[in-house]
Amino acid sequence: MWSKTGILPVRYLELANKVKNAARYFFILSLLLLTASKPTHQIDALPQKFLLDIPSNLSDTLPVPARNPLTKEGVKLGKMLFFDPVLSGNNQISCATCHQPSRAFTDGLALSDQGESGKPLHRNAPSLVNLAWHKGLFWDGGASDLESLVFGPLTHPDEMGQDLHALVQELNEKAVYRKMFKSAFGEDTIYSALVGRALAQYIRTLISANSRYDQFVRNEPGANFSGMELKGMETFEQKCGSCHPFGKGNNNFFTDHQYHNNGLDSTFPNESEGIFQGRFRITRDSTDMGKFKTPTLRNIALTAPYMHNGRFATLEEVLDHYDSKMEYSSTLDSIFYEDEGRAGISLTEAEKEAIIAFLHTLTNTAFVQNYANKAGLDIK
Amino acid sequence: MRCSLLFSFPGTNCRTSFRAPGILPVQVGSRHCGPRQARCWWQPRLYDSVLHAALFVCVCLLVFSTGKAHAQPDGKVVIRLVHTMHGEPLALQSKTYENAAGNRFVLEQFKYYLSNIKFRNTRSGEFYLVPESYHLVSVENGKHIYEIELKEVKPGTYNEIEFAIGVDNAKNTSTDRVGALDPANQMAWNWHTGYKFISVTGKLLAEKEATPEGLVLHVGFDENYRIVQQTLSQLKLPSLVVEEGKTTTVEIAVEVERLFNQPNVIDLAQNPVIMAGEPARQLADNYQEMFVVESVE
Repeated sequence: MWSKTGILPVRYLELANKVKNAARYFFILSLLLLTASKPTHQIDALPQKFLLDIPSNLSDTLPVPARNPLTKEGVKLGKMLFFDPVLSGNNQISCATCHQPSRAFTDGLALSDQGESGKPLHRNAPSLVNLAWHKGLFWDGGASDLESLVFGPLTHPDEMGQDLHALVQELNEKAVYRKMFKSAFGEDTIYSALVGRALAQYIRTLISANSRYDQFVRNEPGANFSGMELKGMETFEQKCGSCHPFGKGNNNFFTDHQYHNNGLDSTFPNESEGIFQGRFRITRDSTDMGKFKTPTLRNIALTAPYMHNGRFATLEEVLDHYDSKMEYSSTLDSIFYEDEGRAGISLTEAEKEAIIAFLHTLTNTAFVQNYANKAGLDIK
Repeated sequence: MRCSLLFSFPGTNCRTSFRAPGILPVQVGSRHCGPRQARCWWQPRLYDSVLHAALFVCVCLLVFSTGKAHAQPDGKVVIRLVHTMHGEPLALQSKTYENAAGNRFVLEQFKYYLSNIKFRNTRSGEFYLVPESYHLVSVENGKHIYEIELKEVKPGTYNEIEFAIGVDNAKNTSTDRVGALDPANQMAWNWHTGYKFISVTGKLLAEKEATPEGLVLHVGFDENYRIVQQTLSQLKLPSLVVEEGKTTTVEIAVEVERLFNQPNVIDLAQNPVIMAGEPARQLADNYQEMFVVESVE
């Protein structure tokens, strides 16, 4: 009754055989079940990673939050939303109404009254160029990221005046949007956070660093500066380069992304929820009173009028202000104090002319034209 | 060399090729048994079956696991928040209230975030953190009681309840969120990324002027996050016992007059709009004191 191996009795061996056979079949069956029971949505295509060509003199990488990587589907959807007036309460105002591609995403107005209520805003529409590298957004850095920022202009009664519950309902009723949100985010229902993320993805692709200046600094063929432009660049670096840095390597943003009081006002009233107080209303630090973010000077020839409330219509007025019209206050940036104790940046008429000639080389015509005809980046 | 697991089928003999049901015969090789071996080199032995069974169990666990951390079945807890003003149910858009500073006002909206609910047993150290605990508590006209239903609470005996008023820093730095934190709920600021922890609006009735002034209390930002801790034994209440299939209700009195009076007396005539700075901090210290657990049953 013992098996040939002499270890186990025959009865056990028969049982073992049965167990073995059963186990084999179950193993194969479970493998089949595993492959067959895969839920169908896993078979759908995932959004494709969007690879951007960032000009070498701007940066090596594009800062992107982990929760919202750039994908082709996301950028495409964001672009569609950006130009669609359905995003506003009255379905007549789109993001592009105040951020027009032909003006490097500004609107040519000092303080827009194109919002739903018709009331003028208190701040000038900033250019949306190269925002991915900004840490704080808005003139006072109040928004921490693009995904959160967009809900501000979307819902403000003086801007797009939208109710987000109503917006997602409207979008969910459109088959085109349902399909696009599904391919971008894998969700069957559209909700507010996804609208914010799609717009953020598109805005991150608004990269401008291919102006005549950029071609010159990258030593590209045909990129030549006139004598006046060269002189302007030199003067600009001396007089303006601390807050509007540029140069070799990759700090070519023409903004230090910091907040400064540049002598536009001497007092800062606290009406309208502190909007005239600049960075102070965000940090509650009194040394930040009246400080506003250094804007980029890229495409500056296209983004008049200038300053956080659009008070200067021309670049000449801006330089006149710096030269002789600065106002004193306790938080005026110390960089403006000259040897005699006077506040300002002394500029001769010739220097002003040269600087303005240089500033015109910062216009990235190709960028503006690409976006102006709503083609944007060629997303295949 | 042993035969691979997949190619062992019942009824194989010592052969160089074999046929399995529905599958074409496969040539394994020309090697054959030695004369003394009871089984061929490619025929599985008992340990193969054990290996198969073990693999099957592992696969089953992978496919069918629900990822549940605890083995015990869960109970349910309902947090019932009863909002009163001077002992009466809080009424919106109707009753005129007066605070310790002598301001007279009517409230129109009363909403706040209650989050990060925790149950603790301070003796055993046992605790339960409610996952993704963000609740937008809202008092409506005619509805002064708000209930938060917590399903799947880990069974245990808890003598301390903790929760926060506001949104913790980790979630307060961006507002592209869902559920209670969805910006569609109109609790996200549009000029400074973050959530309003309380949103209390109404009308301040001035003594002399005919037109009432707008009352806007929007308090948020990390410095105004407040934690409320209630030790049940100190309140002469029984412990919260959570059992499978059982629902326990924790009733919490929310005494809204404390928002304006204790510990700081808020003068709304001086500050009808409070969004930041010292007045906001005072309101935060006050709203921390609004909550008292009344009963556990």
